[in-house]
Amino acid sequence: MRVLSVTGEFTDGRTAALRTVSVSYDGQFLILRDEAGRDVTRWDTRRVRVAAERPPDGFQLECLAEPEACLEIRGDSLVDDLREMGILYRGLPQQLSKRMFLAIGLVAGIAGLVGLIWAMVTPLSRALAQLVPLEVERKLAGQMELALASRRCESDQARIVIDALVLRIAGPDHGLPPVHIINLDPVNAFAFPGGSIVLTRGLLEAAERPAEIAGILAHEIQHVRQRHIMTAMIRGTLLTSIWSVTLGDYSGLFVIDPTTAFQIATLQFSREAEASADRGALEMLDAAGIPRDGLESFFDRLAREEGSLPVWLSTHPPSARRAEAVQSASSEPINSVEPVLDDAQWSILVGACRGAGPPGRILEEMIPIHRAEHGSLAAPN
Amino acid sequence: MTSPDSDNISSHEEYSFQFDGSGTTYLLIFLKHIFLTLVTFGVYFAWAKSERRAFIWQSLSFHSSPFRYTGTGIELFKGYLLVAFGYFGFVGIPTLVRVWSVTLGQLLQGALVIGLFAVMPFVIYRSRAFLYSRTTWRGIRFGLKREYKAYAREFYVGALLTILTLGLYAPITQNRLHRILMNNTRFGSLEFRYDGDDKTIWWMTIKGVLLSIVTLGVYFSWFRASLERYRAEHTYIGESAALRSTVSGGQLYVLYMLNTVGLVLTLGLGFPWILMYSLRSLAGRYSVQGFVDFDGVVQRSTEEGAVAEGVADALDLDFGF
Repeated sequence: MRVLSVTGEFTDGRTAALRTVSVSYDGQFLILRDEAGRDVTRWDTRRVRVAAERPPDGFQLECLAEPEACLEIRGDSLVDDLREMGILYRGLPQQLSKRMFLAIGLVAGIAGLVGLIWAMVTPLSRALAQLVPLEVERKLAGQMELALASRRCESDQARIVIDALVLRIAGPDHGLPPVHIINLDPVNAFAFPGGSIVLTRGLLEAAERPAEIAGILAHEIQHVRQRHIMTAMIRGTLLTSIWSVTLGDYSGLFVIDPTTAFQIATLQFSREAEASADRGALEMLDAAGIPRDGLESFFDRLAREEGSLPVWLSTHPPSARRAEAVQSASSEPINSVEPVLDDAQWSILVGACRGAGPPGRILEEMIPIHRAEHGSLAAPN
Repeated sequence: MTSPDSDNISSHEEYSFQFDGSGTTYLLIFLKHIFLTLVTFGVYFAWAKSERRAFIWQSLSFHSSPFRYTGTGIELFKGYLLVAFGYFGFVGIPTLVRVWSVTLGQLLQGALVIGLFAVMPFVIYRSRAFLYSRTTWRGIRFGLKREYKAYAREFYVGALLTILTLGLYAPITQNRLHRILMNNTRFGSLEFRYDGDDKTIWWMTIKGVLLSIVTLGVYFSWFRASLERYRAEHTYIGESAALRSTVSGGQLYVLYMLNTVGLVLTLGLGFPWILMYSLRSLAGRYSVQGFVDFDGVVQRSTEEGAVAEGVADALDLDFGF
């Protein structure tokens, strides 16, 4: 058995006086004596623990029997002595190599965890999104729908045409999403928080035939049905919350920022969501007896206009790749049983905004990104 | 109680502060905390904060004896749990009500904001009291007397007058709030006292702010340093000792640059070393001069919960710890 014999500094927790004491060990007790050799206190080592390390070779000890008292001792072989007495908890890293190992392990662990959370968060968001009613999503979106409403420009005739087209694409079995035409130049279409779909005047004018509009509508209906907006909102909220809690900021919890809903709707769905909407759109077009080549030719034209935007720079799958995907899926051409729209209906739809005033500034500011990204022709989300 | 006579504080003794925390150790603690916080979906945060604080406290010594933080993770966690429910009430309920009725939701939110303002001085005071009650030196606890009401009164009146005077009253109310806090602070049986003059602080602040504007912010460090020195010189510990600071504007400017430019240049990775260096640099500029009878300082009992601590944290009133 080792014989501990060191001097230390002792505070009894009753006054701030600091006393120099000699410390010895009798096999069970740490015995503290003052300079005159009188017993100051005896600590049962089973109730003693390290309160703090005092680098380079010191320890602060405390005893459960006297919780406010503290003994500070220093010495070269203290680590071994304290281990033998069972006071020093194992695993306290003492050497640099152990610390390096610990650091590498921790960094690897953190990276693994971040990867796991990243992989889990999308499926979880998708499942949660299905539980949120569309009405709640619309309320969360706040005033943005009002801003859109002021720019709507469809005539009654256009309304009838578009409703009939949506009914034909989506079928009568599911609820039909309301589709609005707004008076804006950029070529765009997007699913809006709350389940409505918006087409711009620019898009109608840029389309060359009804099947293109039908293809785009089918794609947006899929975004609504698959709850991509709510999924993106929940995903963003989850990631923000996890990040802020990790950094110790609990204020990030419980906050769903409704302004992001619009950005999510107009700017970026994940590539998986876009691809999934494309697939669903093709199935819907097939079921409705509408040729798929509308979507295909629209993407072809987009690809020509886009030039060579790198894949990783775009939030959308590049239009060329989407056109290829659509083409490869179009192995069995559908023979349309009836035209998508007749000439009169097509003319009404394309001219829906004729006679409306100039586009609103607020909306111009809300949808600037697509023009910057894609030139004059934007990808529908 | 009279102000200690400055003759008593002629430099019999000088007790210095020292900070010796290592950046590498702090980084390891921080990495461990990120890992455990992620694994536990945030629950470990309270323990992490407690441990980080304990590390910083024990790295700070006064008169060669280290400070200790005796707070535990579980008491902070309980506080945070209550705050989390409170936060849900504060943010979640108005959001849900707004789905039903926008006007009612906004009214409710307005009422809650006013309520939050009303409880803020109590939160600040109690959070400080909690921090003190968990801080010991040589086994003796710090403490804050329960004088919430005086603090709250000054807080409300100060806020009102600050608005009415377009901010000109702010330095005075800040000084008065600081005085209330310091005059109720004690270390065991040893009492603290602050007698910084409102008028002096006001002129110092007005000059500091104006010169900071003229110098595009550069002078701000010198203003802060002069304020720190003044506050320290007017802080008495017991009857025959006072705090002293030799913090300089140049030093604060360097620390400020280090904490902004330095962090950016190291992509944030240098933060443990920058934080430890900053604390070391600041601690070395503070001391207590005079005579303190440490043998005569006796322990006092105290009881403060961690709820206010949690609230203060959620409101970002963390006092830099």
